[in-house]
Amino acid sequence: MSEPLLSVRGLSKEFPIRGGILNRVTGSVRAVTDVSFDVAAGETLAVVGESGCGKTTTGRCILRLIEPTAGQVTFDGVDLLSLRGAALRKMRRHIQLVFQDPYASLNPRMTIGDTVKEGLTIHQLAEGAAADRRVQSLMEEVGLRREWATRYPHEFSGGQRQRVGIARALAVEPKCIVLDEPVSALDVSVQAQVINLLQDLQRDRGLTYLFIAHDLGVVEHLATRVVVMYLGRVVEMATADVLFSEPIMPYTQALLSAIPLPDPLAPRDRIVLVGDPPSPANPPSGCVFHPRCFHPDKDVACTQVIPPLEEKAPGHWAACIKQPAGTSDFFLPAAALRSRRTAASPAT
Amino acid sequence: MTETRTHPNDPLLSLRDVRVTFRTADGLITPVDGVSFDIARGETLALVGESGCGKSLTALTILRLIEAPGRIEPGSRILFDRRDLLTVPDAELRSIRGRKAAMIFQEPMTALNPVYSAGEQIAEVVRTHTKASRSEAWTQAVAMLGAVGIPSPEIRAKQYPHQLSGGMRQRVMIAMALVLNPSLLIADEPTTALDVTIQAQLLDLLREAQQARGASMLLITHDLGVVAESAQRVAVMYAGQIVEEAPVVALFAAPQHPYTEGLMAAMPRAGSRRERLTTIPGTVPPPGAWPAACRFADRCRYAWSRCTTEAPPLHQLGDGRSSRCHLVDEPARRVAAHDMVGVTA
Amino acid sequence: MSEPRAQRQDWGGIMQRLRADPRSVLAASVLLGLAIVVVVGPMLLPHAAYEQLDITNLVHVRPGREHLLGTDAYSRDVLARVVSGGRVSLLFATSAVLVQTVIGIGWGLSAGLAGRRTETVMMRCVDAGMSVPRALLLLAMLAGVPQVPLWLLVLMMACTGWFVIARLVHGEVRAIRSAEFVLAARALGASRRRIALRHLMPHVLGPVLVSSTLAVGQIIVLEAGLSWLGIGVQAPRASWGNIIGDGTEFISSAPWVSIAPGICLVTVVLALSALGDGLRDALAPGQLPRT
Repeated sequence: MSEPLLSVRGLSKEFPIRGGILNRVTGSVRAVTDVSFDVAAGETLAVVGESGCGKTTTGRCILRLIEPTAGQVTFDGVDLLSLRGAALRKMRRHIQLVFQDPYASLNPRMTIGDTVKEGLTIHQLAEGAAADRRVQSLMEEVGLRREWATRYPHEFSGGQRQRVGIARALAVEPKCIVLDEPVSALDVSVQAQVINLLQDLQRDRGLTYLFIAHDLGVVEHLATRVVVMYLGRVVEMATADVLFSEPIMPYTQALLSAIPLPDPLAPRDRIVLVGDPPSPANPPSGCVFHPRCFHPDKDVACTQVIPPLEEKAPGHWAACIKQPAGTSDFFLPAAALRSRRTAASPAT
Repeated sequence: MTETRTHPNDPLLSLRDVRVTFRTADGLITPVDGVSFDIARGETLALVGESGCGKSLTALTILRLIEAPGRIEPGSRILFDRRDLLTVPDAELRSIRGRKAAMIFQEPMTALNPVYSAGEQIAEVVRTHTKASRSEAWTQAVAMLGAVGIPSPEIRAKQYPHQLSGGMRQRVMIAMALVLNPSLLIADEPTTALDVTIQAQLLDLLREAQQARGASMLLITHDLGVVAESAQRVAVMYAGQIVEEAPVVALFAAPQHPYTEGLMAAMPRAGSRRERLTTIPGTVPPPGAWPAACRFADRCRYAWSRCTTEAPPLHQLGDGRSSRCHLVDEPARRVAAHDMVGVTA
Repeated sequence: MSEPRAQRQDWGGIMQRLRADPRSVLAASVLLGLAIVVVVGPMLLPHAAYEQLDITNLVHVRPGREHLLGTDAYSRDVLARVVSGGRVSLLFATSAVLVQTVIGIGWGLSAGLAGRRTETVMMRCVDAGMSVPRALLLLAMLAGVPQVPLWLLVLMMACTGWFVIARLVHGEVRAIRSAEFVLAARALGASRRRIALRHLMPHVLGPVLVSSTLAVGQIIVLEAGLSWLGIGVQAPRASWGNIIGDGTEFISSAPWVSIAPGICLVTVVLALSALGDGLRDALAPGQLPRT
């Protein structure tokens, strides 16, 4: 078993809530609690969850754009959390980030050529004419015309701007790219183009992706392994095939059943969760999902014990103290889930 | 040009040749260009398209919410319950808005007034259109909040929008829209900004509410999954025009227009894992830069010479289907092409 | 999902919008014209500003062909004095604004990028400085030492005026520092210095330019006031303020001495205000990227 490229252990982040006249700390928002996972070189690990689950914060903590409160992050054998100053900045070259919002993530007063070139300048990878040539070849690689290097972001569409963001990340030749909802803000047809591009780049450059998303359709298409987060914690982790066909956690089941399928004839057995997601400032005791959980064996223990993430089957981890009830009325049998999903392929 | 259409029932809403123009720094653009469709009583029509196609503007036009520099062109007709909304006197229009036809917007945080509580905003709708007193209106508001699935509605009614979660705010908007039992709901991307589990709850809620009241709904969305779940009929828009219309099952089983085909193929779905997605090459043109003749021709995998010289009319195909494409005349040209690989933008 | 309507955000776009605005073009032309007159004038004019021509006969001569704006109580040509005074007033104001802008930007940028505690301390200093009315502060500083060399006066003016710029810059930095493109630069490995100079400065310069343009007008008026009181620019050096001061006694008998520099003062301040407004509009992004 080779070493994973990226290894996260016990990552936590708390944001203090300030209030009162003197701005004292009155409480804290536990955005990320005790998150652990590995990413092997060359794979695409997707982190999914709904808003407030902490996936974006996790990504930013790994990159140290936000300082985690606790935990350990090892990248390529290096302890990322212990680096400081210039050493940290140098390390950033190897693990890059593509943002969700193609409008806000580009400096409107810089040409896109300069934006792509910036990484080269910072890490002294190329200068002058050599740098310009690198920029041009990067632009072509992501599907932009090289003459466009002198134009400004406002002249481009959302999909094109996202390509600029990808080119910027590629310029420094990273080993791993964290993609924070890179296609959520794009139209369907543009989304498909960017997804194809990401796949091509991964294959051609041997990249590793940490893909943060809430759109499970895209995740199912791209991911090798999936981590499901809820209220700051990892609740389930498995390969994409397994997760989408045989999820163990009630939350994952509900999440999957909630996706609207583009097939009017597909059976609509939907698990509709009751109520709104709880607030991360005031998480429930014990298992964070217990107020909305529909597991038939749910009991008092669920409100007292924080379930540890355990390997329930080879490569399939879940955080639940009860046995998965595959044959209960409350759960969709795995076979039904699988057949729902493959039935939903529209004819072309 | 008007396209004649026969609808067996007397439709609740009927748009004919609706055209909206905007005066911009670069000249006159027509983001809604000759849109026609009907919605029967009790039916849900989904209006699908990507950004820039004009679907949201079409929705605003129905309730005459377009303001300068936009203009609804004469020649457009919007018949609601047989009254032409574009020519009715203002007083009558005001009595229709909110009461007989209600709108649900995409962003509840900007559509709700931040300085009034949820209950007050719903009560205001009631008091505007009926002679209810303040307390009666409040009671109705609280009841409505309960009906849309908000727990402890008496407490929530007193809360302000910023104190509510996104899902709750949207429920408040739905409550505002439903409180006076409108016969038409216009929902403009009502769940796009929300998580998928909340989306599922709200779509169910809308569907139940609609069925209970026998109301019609115009559902505007870009998500084909939502369309399949909620609509009976679908109209696909591209570049200001309707390019295809069909009952929902027929549309998903066999889309006629190349754009609809392309949209469906571009969606990642189970079974497509790790393969290349079929994409529609190029990007959506902005309203000022629409191609002459067929507006989709430069991105269409089947296009031939006729497509760039002659604008296709909206062909009626029977069974409630239509398609704005020359392939209707020349079906042999629909060659089963290999997947078109994604091309640069 | 609709795209925000795009407007050019680069300097080219700003200049374009500025040139299209008739009010700004007029104001800029007036200021440019005045600057040329003030620089070139003393070389072309027949009389010198300090020259007392004929203390017996040429005192308070009405404006005429020989003396376009008449003469003052010391038989000095008023036009020459006004032009020379213009040079002093404009130069004074511009240098003071330059110095206060540099201090303000430095302070504001550092505060914006510093840790929370340092930032709080720095901005409280700014608040303290802003709480004292500037004119009062200047009067207090000049009360003890009436004969202040001009360069020192410039420094005093700057030291009382940088607070507003610092607060403005700090505000802008705070608004932008959490913008995604700044985060993107950090993710690339940019140092704090690079982010400050390459990403923050261009955004900050815009509002600073507007503020500074208006500040020139404010300082011209302040200086004029101090000079009128006799504690600003000292005789025999002319400044619009002390020319007005000299002519105040004789406002009924020889009004031209005060009126001429007065009109110039008003014109310049109006032009600067108009230009400042035009700049603000040209910079107004309309649709800045959603953050």
